[in-house]
Amino acid sequence: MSIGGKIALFLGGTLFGSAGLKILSSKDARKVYTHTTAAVLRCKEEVMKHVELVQESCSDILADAKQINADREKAAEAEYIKESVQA
Amino acid sequence: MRFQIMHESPGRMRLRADVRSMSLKEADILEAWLRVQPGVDDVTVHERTCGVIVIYRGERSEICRMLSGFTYENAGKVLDPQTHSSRAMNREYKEKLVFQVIRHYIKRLFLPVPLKRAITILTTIPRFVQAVRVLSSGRLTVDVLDGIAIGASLLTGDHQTAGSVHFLLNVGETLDEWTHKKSVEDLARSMSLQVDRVWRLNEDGKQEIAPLGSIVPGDRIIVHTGHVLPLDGILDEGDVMLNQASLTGESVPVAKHPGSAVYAGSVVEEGNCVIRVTREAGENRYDRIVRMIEDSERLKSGVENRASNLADKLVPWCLGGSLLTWLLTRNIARAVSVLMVDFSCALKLSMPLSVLSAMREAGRHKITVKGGKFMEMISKADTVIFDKTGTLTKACPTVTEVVAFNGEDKLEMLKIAACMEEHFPHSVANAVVKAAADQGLDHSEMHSEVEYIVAHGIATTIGDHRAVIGSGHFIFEDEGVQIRPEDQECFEGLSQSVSWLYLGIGGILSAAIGISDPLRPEARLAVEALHAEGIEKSVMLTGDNRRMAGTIAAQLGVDEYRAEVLPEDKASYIQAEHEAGRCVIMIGDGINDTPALSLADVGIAVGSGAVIAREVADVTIAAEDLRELVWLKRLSDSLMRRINRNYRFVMGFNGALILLGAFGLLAPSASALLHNTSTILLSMDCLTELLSNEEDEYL
Repeated sequence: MSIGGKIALFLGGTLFGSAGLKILSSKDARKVYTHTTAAVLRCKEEVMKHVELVQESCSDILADAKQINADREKAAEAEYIKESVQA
Repeated sequence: MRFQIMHESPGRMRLRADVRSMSLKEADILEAWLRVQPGVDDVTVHERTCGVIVIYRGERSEICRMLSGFTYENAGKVLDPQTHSSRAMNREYKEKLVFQVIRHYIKRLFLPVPLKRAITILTTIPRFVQAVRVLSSGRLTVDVLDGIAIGASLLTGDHQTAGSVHFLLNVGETLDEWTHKKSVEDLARSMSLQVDRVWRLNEDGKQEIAPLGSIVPGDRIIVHTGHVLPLDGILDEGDVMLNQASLTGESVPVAKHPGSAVYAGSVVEEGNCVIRVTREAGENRYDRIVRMIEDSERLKSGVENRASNLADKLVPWCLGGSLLTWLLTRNIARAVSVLMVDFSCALKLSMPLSVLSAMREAGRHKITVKGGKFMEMISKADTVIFDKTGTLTKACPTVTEVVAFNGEDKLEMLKIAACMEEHFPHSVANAVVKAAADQGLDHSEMHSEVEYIVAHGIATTIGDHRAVIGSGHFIFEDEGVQIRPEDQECFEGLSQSVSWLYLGIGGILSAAIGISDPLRPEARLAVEALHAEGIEKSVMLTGDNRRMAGTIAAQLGVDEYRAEVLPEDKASYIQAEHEAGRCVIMIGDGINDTPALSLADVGIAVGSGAVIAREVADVTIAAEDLRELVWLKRLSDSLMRRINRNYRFVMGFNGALILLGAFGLLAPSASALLHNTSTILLSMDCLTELLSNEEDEYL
């Protein structure tokens, strides 16, 4: 690296160290952080809500499936009784 | 409140509450309220979606009407403000798990490869640190294997496998933590609901029963032998032996004298005392119980430990196998594929999950199991020992007759007896108190301090006579009470089919109170069913005389009985059974059962017995039904079956993967995929209910 490049890097670093850090810790920046965090939390909440919705739907499906089997069982039982009565 | 029905099938309804959001507290109120409504079998409330799932019996229209009548205000009044719910905790862990999964898949599917690698390496660093730490302490555990497996796959460039092994281990650890916390919380909740009334000593020296919540600092309360101190305080009167095991873990009781500080949770082993309360009941009580349980080692489940011990034992074999493969084939990929099949994930995940789900299932039957270990013991047990009174018999014995001697008046004698018995939470005592109340007798305190002699009786002073009440053994042999010659005939004519409580005043027999304690209707069925479930020997212990015990034992169909048993005999009987190599379940409910309950492999407290019995018991069954015991035995057996099946499956399947890997028939990534998929499937299976799909075989 040339001397100039090194100087530029040094100056950049100094600038960042003084002004950059100031910006990053400024009031406005803080606002950005807070809002971003809030958005992340909202997002998280939304995801969990969807997980629960899926869970609920799954339990509906399971209940319906059990019902189908119970109905089939009942029908088969009725059929069997009918047959044995006829026989 | 308005609800919208979202989905319906016979006996089940899923609704959505017409509100914008629901707080944790509100969800708890709704769930607790629905649970106690007639016709409702089971309720789940999802607070995030405001969803309610109701499983019900009976009329649909009734359920709808009931639901529309719900308001938080009215329902909140029904709910005890001190109840603590685990909703917040479950929510936290569910969230943690979901995001562990989401993070893993986002990383895997969307992130660019270099970033993915960097993340995998960074997040797995703690595992290497742990592996090195374990190795440097001279042990060879699963941590080492985990470290090597992840390290080896990173070194061979298989970052994906490293990532998924790490992910599965994390999920397993979260689940493990959840199991532990949940069992602690469930247990604490059931325990914190127990002590509810205390004897308050008023300024004028009068004693009265007061609800625990009404006690404020400065009040003086009386605590008798065998009771748990409900609150912190300063010992005011009386020298007592306190067992502070629940606080300090020290099981030898310590002597406390007036002036010393005493803490809630200690048990009065000997003596009676008056305590000046320094802190009122509140949340701290719950927290203290949680701490107490966490401190005690009893929660460690044997099977869970065995799972990790077994996993540890497999480590050298895995390492050896991998080394051997490398020596034989000189092929690193094959050697790594052996390492990839990490038994520990599957074992570590499936064991706590099975135990957790079994404990949850037990919880639905209002059975609190204080650790997975006890389910293992219940399944192993071959001997059941019942304490008769309060366990095999109805919890409410009744006074059938009162016979007065020494020319005394019947009612007067009943009054004195009730006055003495009133201080002790024994079912017989309750019967006497109730008989007096039924007769409309007002028994304001007429005696001096009451002294409780465990399992024998009660002594006090009335006027200047010593009054004693208790079993024949206590009254005639220990206390030397005499029968007047003219009463002898009447005494001998007392019926043998009920048990008698004797009252002696001034050394003369003054009354006999006949107490009949009918067997629970389901007792015989329960004993039979337990035999059918593999119990070889059932024993009844009772303080009754030989003849009565014999009759009852025959009615019950127990294999053995012991009559005229003293509490220390109960414990030594269990000791003898232990020495004969038997695994013993003891079922009891009273103060006098506590030594036996704690000595047995599993102590089970049934129904609404003494607090201390529930405290030392390993399992508490809230229902007044002995068939719950059979159900619990079945549940434990199925749990053990599931666990053993999991062992076999994990060993067999993963063993096969190792062999295939060693012979080069399976690439490391394929074996890792198969291993992980099987682990997830197995874990999901562990979460299903044990008893409804008992016969289902895995895969």
